[in-house]
Amino acid sequence: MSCDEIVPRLDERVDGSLSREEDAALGIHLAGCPACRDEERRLRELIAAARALPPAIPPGRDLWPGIEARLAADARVASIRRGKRALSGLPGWLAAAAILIAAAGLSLYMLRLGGEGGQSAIGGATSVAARGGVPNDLREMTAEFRGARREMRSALDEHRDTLSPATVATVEENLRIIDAAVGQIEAALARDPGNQELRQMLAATRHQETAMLRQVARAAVRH
Amino acid sequence: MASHAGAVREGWTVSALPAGGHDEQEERLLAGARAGDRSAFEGIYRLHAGRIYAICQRLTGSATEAEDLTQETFLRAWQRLPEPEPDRRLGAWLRRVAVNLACDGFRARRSRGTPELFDDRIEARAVRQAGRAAQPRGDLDEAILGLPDGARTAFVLFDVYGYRHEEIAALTGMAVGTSKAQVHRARRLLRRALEP
Repeated sequence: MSCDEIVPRLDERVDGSLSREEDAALGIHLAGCPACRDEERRLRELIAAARALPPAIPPGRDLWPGIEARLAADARVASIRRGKRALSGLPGWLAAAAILIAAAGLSLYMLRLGGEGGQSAIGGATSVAARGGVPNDLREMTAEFRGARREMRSALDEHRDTLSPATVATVEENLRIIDAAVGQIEAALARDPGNQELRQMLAATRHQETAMLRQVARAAVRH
Repeated sequence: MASHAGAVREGWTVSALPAGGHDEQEERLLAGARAGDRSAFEGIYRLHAGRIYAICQRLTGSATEAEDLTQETFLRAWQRLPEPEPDRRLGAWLRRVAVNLACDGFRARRSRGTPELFDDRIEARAVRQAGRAAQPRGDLDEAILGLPDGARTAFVLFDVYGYRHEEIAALTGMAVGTSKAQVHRARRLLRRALEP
């Protein structure tokens, strides 16, 4: 066998995929050919180096914050979906209110992400702000939102005897979401009180939500 | 090769993990993550991120794509943690998720592009590209990043991580013979690229 025939077969030889006869024939050639032996040595060195590569390479930046943000957003979406399923048997006004409140929590969360650098979240909410006539004072808006919460609480208390325990539990859970949302507004204000874009986006979103919540609560009283 | 390849095909099970501080820690983290504790899952990420990122970077040849794939791997892992498969080790299982995702991307690129041709001009360009990537240290990992897509994928799976050609064919959609040819091609290109 010539060197030109041997070299292309060296890969198969080092991979152990030649037949015993073929391997023996290559071995005879290699025993008398320093150039092909050198070729085989270099090939084996490359493969050994590949297998000895470090098992770990640290990423250039910490990827966990991005993963955590996605997990949190997915959890909120899942929560809304679970809520929608659980609400399928509720009176219409309660179902609407609960879904609205859950969505409010998600939108606030996305706004918070936007304030920390999430481009898409900011972009989505900016259009909301641009469409609405928005109050500028977020603290006033927070108080307004808390007022809506109290109205819904009153409506719930009034109808409590006519509702199933599962219904009451669902509404209670969503009231807890409101509490968390209010807490996030205050935290966002504390972190960056001068961010006008963030203030307007939050205000526009909350203004719409509180207006709708009031309508739901009033409908409940009429129910 | 057999033991090397065998490591890839190891399964994932908490009870199968050998005793030791690291494994006990991983077991605790896994139990917490399964119960929905995200901080425990962060611990799993901290333990395995480097290994997952390494295989993603070697398979894609791109730091940016590797970051995306690493994140996607852990997101998939979180979704599947409540349903662990028996007899599978966590590290190997995570790696399999990452490899599947990377090979999904490879198949998509192949279906969009034209088949790779190996002629002398293309090979010379590939050698230059791998050689430039490896400079100035003559670094094998860097040279791998400069390989053409098919050669890099087959080489990384076969020579670095010990997959069999049949497994590579199933993962990437290449024929078994193509996988062999791409590994041989990658070795040839790398040796030329790393020549002093």
